[in-house]
Amino acid sequence: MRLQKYVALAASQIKVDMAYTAWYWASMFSVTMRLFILYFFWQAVYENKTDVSGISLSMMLTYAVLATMLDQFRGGAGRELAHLIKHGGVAVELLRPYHLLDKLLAQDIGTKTSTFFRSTLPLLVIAMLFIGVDPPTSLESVFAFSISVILAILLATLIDLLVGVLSFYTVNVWGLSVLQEAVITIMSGAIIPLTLFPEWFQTISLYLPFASLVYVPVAIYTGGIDASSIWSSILIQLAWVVAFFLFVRLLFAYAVRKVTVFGG
Amino acid sequence: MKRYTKLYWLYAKNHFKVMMEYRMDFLIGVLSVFGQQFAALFFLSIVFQHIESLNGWGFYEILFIYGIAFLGRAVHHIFFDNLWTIGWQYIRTGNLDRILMRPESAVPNRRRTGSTRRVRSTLDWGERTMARLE
Repeated sequence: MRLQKYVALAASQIKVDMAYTAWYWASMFSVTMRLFILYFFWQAVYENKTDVSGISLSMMLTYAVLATMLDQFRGGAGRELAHLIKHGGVAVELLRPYHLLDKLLAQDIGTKTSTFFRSTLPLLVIAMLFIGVDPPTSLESVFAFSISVILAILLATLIDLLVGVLSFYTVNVWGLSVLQEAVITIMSGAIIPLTLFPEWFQTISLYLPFASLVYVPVAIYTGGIDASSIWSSILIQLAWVVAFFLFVRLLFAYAVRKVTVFGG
Repeated sequence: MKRYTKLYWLYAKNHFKVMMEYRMDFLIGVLSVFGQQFAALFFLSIVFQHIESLNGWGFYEILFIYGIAFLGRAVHHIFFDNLWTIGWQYIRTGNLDRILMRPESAVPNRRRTGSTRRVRSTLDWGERTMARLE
């Protein structure tokens, strides 16, 4: 597997993203808005209390900032694939000398790298200045946080790819993508930490991959997950990533075979 | 004006037919939009499990605000949801030229070739939330 071509794909995707500046400013604006809305929301919630379910205001704000930023990396690979399938371009792509899934992943990494530098970093600066982000609880947690973030982003991309591959069967992927968005928004902890949910909800989310998307990395940073369970949470994340990776590959191989048989 | 109304209706019907082609996907989508509404209300109820009032607003008052806001949004979606896709879906791919060449003006055209999906569900839900608070 020659890595150069995939690096080239990622780089070209970064250039494509840089070409649309209005889009960049618009998305910066909307994420900033979202951050500030969350900020005022939590200020109002904490008006009469000092902590909600053991979480202090500053911890909650830190969580909100990090979760919102992590949520930006939810994944475009699946949408790309769905678009290719719906408009038939997938037939051409399958003939090319690279694996389509790898190409989509490479492009996605390109997009996310550019997102990181163009929007996440400036947003972090804004958040630190106006909202106030807590420093991490320990050096170990920073290290674990970085690993966890990478795993979370990979997982998000893979879930998105899965939805994309499923569109081989449903052609129009709109319904599934709305479902994906609805489920992920609420179950990944992107809006509020999972610890605020009722017991039954938390038990269910233990068995689902979504908690690993946003809650696990951010909670590692804020200390919501205590030191003893950090590495086991990361292992669970890794397990989900591997599981989804294999599952997507298998489903894709099966779907491609089915498509070719029908003369796609 | 009457002509545009008729055209609008034709486009809407056509789009519904397109969506019903992918029936399973359409159903999943409608259910998911309902799911989104549930999720939002679920979120609000959880927040209010932990606090009594939000800056002076109680749970039902917040729900009311949410209902009004979403009702407005739903009505907006019925008519204008698709306008924002002009950028990447039409200009970038060159499809806008195709539409500009048509004998009718481009804007009413654009308004309807888009998504009615969210419409029914959000409209229903907005109204239902409002009604529940009566």
